[in-house]
Amino acid sequence: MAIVGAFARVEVSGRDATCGLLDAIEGVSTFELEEVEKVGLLIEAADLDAVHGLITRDVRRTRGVLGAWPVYANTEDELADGRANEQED
Amino acid sequence: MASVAGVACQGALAAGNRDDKVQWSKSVCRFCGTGCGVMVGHKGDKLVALRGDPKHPTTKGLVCAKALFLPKIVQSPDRLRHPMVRRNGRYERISWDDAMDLMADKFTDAIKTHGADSVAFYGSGQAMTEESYLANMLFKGGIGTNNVEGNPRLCMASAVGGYVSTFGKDEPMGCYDDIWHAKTIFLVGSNTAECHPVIFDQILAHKQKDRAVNIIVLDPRKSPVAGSATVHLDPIPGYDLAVLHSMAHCIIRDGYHDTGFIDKNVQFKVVKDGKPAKVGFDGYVEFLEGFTPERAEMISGVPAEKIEEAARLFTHGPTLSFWTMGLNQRTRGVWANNLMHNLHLITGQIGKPGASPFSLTGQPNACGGVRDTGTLCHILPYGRSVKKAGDRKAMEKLWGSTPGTIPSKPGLHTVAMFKALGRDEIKAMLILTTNPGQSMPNLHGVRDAIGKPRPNKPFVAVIDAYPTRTTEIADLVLPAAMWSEKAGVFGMSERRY
Repeated sequence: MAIVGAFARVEVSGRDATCGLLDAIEGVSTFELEEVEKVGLLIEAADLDAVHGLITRDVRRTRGVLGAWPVYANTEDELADGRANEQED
Repeated sequence: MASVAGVACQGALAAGNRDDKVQWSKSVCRFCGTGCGVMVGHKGDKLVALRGDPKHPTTKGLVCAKALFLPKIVQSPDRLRHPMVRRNGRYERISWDDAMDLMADKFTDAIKTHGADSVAFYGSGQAMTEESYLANMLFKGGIGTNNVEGNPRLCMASAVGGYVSTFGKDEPMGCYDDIWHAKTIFLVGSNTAECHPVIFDQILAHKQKDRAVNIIVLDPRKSPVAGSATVHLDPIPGYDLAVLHSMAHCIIRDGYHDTGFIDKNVQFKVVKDGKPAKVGFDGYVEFLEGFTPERAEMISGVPAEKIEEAARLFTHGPTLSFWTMGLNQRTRGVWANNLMHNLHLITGQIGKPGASPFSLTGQPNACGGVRDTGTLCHILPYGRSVKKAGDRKAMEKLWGSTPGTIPSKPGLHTVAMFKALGRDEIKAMLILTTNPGQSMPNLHGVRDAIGKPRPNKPFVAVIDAYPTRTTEIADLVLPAAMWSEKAGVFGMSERRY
């Protein structure tokens, strides 16, 4: 599992509606930030590929979103599941 | 921005509570020329987390979706781990000592038998600055060949040619801070939203704070950038030169050029009989008479009124232009770069806050690693030229080379180098962290040059972190250490190291 903190830059007019649309995306939670042009996002998904897809497709294409940028990513669980950690010695 | 990073981090921490015992180290992202500051979270020797560095002076805690994969690319099971040599069509693992002996023997034999120019180096904007500098020093100052090239030849060479032919020196003169001072931002052949997202966010943030900021987009594609444009010029691909000439035509026709700046700082030349010849401002105006907006519309497909509007907005400075591979990676790329510089020079939109023609670099270290270190066939470190005796002498002294080691004639450029490899004139080549076996034009010939079995086949050694279309046909493959596994510097688009 991967957890990513991010923010979306949004059109200020229609901000509430945009937040509603973002909250409706599975795996995405919104929270307030100091600047009204930004919406904080907490994104949880099965792996980084899924998070990447959520950000670059679902979030970024939501009406009112001008762009989406990660600021934090924890991938320890994803790496611990063995898929990405087997190395031939 | 620090507050954004902090709050977002707290949100993630609250959800996962995984950050106990995570140590954080400062680094930079290794994906693109933006050069975002990052903090890498590790437990022991395992990378487990990543966040933007809120203390970075320009990116201030922002990263983009590409950076999510930084820990993962280092710890993938697909990594190359051992030296391998190709024997009888198969790769066999060998020791480091044997690998280095093999490479040294092959290069030494080639040099002794066929001369210094029988060997070559092909490097990369992915390599650390120190690595490119060392290779340049070895091949030019040690071995004595200028057959030193890098993959920025395929991307940034047009920008290099544009800056050198216009200003006499490579490298853009702006910085990211110019975004916040610009009144007009001109994005040309650049999907900044997806390729340099953190720069694009700064543009958006600036526009959100100052509604008077205009964004002009010149791109045949309607990329995510176009959605933010005040005016979008979408020419038939390859016909944007007419649009740029026409913008200059409109600016001068309407009297928006800066006569004082032009008189003091600008010369106008054309190429006659292969040599630059001065024509003066009047000669330039006469040339531009053939690029009315109406004619440019016929050539490019961009409506004349849009060209007029773009020209008018360009003069509402300070004006900052960003461009990247849409302008660089094509024939006539140097000319396209020249036309960008022309617009800034005729309007005096240069050398002041918010006003600059700024070529964005694609790779994380094409600027700092290849251009600044002079790791191309015709240049030496920091803007010096192999053609200038004084520059060669200075580098020979600095490197402790025997005087006269560095040849005065430029070596083979990238395309010529791989052709020479195919003719077996290059006997040994070292390729560092790049993938010409996939990325070169006219690929079949290049792949045959690198890997086709034949009598007297040249020896090709490749250093890389992953199996690639080049490692699969090389004679010797050496696994490379990656970002976060070694110390070094990147020099990004605004030449911040």
